[in-house]
Amino acid sequence: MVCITDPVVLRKAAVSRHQYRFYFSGQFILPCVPSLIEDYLEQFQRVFTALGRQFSEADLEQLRQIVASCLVEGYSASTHANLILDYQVDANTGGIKYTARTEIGNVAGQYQGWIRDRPAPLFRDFPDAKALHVAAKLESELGANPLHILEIGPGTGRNTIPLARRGYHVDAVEITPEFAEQIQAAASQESLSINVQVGNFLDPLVRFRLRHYHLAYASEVVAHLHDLDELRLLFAKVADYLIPGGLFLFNTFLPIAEYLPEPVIKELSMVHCCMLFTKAEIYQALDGLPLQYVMDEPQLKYEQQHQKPEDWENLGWFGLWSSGRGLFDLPEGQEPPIELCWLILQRI
Amino acid sequence: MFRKPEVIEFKVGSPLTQPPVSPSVITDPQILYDAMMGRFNSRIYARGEISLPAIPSLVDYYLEGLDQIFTSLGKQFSEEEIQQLRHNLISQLEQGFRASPHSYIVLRYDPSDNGGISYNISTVVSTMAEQYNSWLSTRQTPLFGSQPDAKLIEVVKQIPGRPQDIAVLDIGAGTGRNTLPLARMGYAVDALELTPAFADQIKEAAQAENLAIRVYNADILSPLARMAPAYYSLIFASEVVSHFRTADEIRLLLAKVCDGLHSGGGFLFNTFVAIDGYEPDQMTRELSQINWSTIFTRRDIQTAMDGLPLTLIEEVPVYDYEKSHTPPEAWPPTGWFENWSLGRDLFWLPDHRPPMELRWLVCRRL
Repeated sequence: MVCITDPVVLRKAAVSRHQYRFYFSGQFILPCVPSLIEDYLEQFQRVFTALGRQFSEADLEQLRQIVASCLVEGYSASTHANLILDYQVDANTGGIKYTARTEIGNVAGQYQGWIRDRPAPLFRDFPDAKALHVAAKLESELGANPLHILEIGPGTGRNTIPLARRGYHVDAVEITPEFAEQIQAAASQESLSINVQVGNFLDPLVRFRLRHYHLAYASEVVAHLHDLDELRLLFAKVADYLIPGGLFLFNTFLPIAEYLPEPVIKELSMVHCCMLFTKAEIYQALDGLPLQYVMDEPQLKYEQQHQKPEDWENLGWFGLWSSGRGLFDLPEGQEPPIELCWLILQRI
Repeated sequence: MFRKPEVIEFKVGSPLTQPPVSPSVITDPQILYDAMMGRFNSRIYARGEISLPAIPSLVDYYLEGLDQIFTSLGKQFSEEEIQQLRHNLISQLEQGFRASPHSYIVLRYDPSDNGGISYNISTVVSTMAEQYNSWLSTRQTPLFGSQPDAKLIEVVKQIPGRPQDIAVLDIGAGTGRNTLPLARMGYAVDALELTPAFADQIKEAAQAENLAIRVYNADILSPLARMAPAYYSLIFASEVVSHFRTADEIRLLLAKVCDGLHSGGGFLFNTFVAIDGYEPDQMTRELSQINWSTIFTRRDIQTAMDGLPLTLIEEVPVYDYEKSHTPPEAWPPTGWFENWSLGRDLFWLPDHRPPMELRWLVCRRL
């Protein structure tokens, strides 16, 4: 036994001991992205280290397992799931005790947050040029009077109302109740032929008239999907409701041909509502369905050519999001390898 | 002393609660006999427990029976007490029935300190999975017979193509009576089963025989039970709809099936169907549920199918079809199958055919 008297060593020892009288607590809220488990753990460790607490290998392994299972649970349940890690000093041991849980949200909840926190209009206040053009083309080609349109995810009715004003009949299904009410109110005010129901198009009980619609339309909807199964279900249900020759117009993020997104990017794209499907995956989702791929083209370019310049000035978040910057934070001048595209499928 | 029950809710039926009738002296032997017995009945201590299936529409039937029992024990209920009992029964019956058709209400009665009885009513809820789980310990295997459904084999054989390219989904697979033979024939079978012990049995059997069966422990009616979209050539649900409770549940099943089938795919299921012209009343509908034989009318089924991309292409009685397509040595599949499929578990008419029977329905997805 050696008795220490060195003041430097003693000061360090005493201060180190003193650390255990510091109390703190905190919370991490992180989106459930299973592939980011190591990044998240590193982040936790950095914070805990800064707070003067080191995790042993065994403690770290336990944290890894708990966090990993929460991330997987949340990710598979919803596109809007968060991991919540609460931590505080354990008064008995002086170490850190923590609890981890997942919080499952949904798309409607996201938009209800927008209604609360953002100024209107939440989306652009002009319709998509492509929707109006495709509808007009179908009207003249099929001689349909009136044209029956099924709109999936109309939001606040940015397209629904202009389409109905042209004399088309629009049935719509909207996941956010407040949006559906807005559309219905506007429709009754102008006596427009619009029927909005609240629901998720992919819900088994949400059904529409079979072989009835000339055009099915889904703008900024596929970006919210969860996986390839949901995309296939969307296609299969749309195929039920379109008349032969009818079209399905929708937009989705497409990676450029040379770019194959790795799993972590795909997971992040889902969490950031820019769900990425490759063209090969879209063909896979269409396999055996009575729908045929007609065309795709970049949406931003198309819309820019056909919108009034003053509208185009005021794109808000849409300009950044549609060019892939909702997913990739790249400096100006460097373009992300994905962009929002218009796609058209035709019912055979 | 008698041990008091923990929950004393109602003290009723005391023979000593009537006020004295008249102040005059009585010598009439009959009146004196009644008076002595009335007093004596308060010294009879009755305790017991009665379990009744939770069927709300049987409340008056139950009430009558209970009244008779209590009267025979010398504990006559007053009109007000009967109404109170009725009120209590209804709320428990409804609560139990809502939770599950396999629920019971349990009425316990004990002597009360005023010479009557005190009673309380509770609900015992049992789920279908629990019921089936108990079959495993109380019944002989195979629980559902050893042969696959003949109709299923006929339908699956009509599908063109090599079995390994034909994806089939068995909804409510039980212990694998249909799943396993289909897998042995080479079909790509997935099985959905809500009783965990049954799902495990299929998994084990599949493993032992090296069959590539995917088994999911889930209830098809649960929002979380999702199947691969536009994927299956055939989906079938044998002895499943007889467990359903409402036509809305049939619609949900059919809608999910539409999502899982590819265009042109088939859906085979069986359900009890009332013969045309017979309209079951509420009591019959409730009783059919507790007898594992939920009755549906043709109109119920048509409404459930309304607007879905499904066409009904064939309908045959299960009993007749299966009997004529099963080897005699394998008939009947189980001890209960014949009476059950003919509707006799609901209507006990041993020498006649009840106004409903189990029927095979074959549908095609558009």
